[in-house]
Amino acid sequence: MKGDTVSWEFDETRPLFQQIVEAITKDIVSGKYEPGDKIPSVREFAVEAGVNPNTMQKALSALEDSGLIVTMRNSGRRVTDDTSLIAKVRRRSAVSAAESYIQFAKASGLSLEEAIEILKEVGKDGEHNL
Amino acid sequence: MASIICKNVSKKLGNKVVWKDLDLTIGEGKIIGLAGPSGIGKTTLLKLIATFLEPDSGTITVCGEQKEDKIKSIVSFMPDKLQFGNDMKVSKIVDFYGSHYKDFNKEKCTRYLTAFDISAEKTMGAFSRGNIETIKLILTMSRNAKVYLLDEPLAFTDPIMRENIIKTILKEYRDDATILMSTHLLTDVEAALDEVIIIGENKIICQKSVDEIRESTGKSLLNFYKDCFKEGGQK
Repeated sequence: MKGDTVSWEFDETRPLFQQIVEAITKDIVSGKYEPGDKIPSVREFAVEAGVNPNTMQKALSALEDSGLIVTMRNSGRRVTDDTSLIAKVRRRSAVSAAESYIQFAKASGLSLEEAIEILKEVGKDGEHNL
Repeated sequence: MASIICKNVSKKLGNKVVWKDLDLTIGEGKIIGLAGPSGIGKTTLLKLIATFLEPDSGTITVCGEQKEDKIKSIVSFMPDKLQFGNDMKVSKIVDFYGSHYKDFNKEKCTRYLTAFDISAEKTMGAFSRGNIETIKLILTMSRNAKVYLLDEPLAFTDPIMRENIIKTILKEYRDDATILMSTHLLTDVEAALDEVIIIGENKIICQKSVDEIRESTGKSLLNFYKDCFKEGGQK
């Protein structure tokens, strides 16, 4: 149908449930969904993502358990307005990305200093010279 | 509650044993894929459940019913071929469904046809095979049935049509209904499924939750399926 959003993309091997949790977490952490925003119903979300409604339900329940999503009586699910929790989750995601980068850097024979240099250079605004 | 129970079902077509002592239970509120090599018995199984074929032995219970007319009234079957001629207008087929099935929602059907840019005033001969699949799916899903049996709903469709068909199935999903669909396009349907049933010669190789397959094997449904048919694979 025209106007429908494209399905989400999932990688080949990891459970979809886990990938849905990560995708929604990312949308909350990045501010696509702001604190207190109403989020789509299970059905709407499942259709948008192109995933099974029971899998979506499971993912939203996991996000409720983590506190990122709260269920309000009568008004459905919303993103938590606890900004310090969102900040904590944002930091945790960054730490986990940093861990993989450092692991990669070490495995490729870079020193920690070199790895940090690269991060600083790439992190600058505009084009970097690497 | 189980929505489909097959007990000891055997079926021969001509001299060929298609099913032998099949036991199968399918739960309510699930979207289930039926996968297996061509000619292995997927369509036969769907037709047995829909009562279009009769088992040689064994019983099939659908939502507690065993009588043919009861089952026909709660099962919406999407056949691989529509029994309508090329000169038949879509609107006539919609009327036929409306008069034939008490649970047919004409308003919903018309809405979907419009959303898919299918003119009800055209005749069936005017449509591509992919569009005909779409029309069949719309007709099937416009019934308010307990069980939907879809035989190759993605056949002859392009990638965009496939995505739209899958989204339509997800939109029409209800937790008091069951959707069972046969398909070879495992990568396209994987995310939409609760479970997959993989069929081998005369038997079911496995019936598993698709996310459990990923969790326990680290493999996509397609790669898991291929493993099932490898020499020495899990049988």
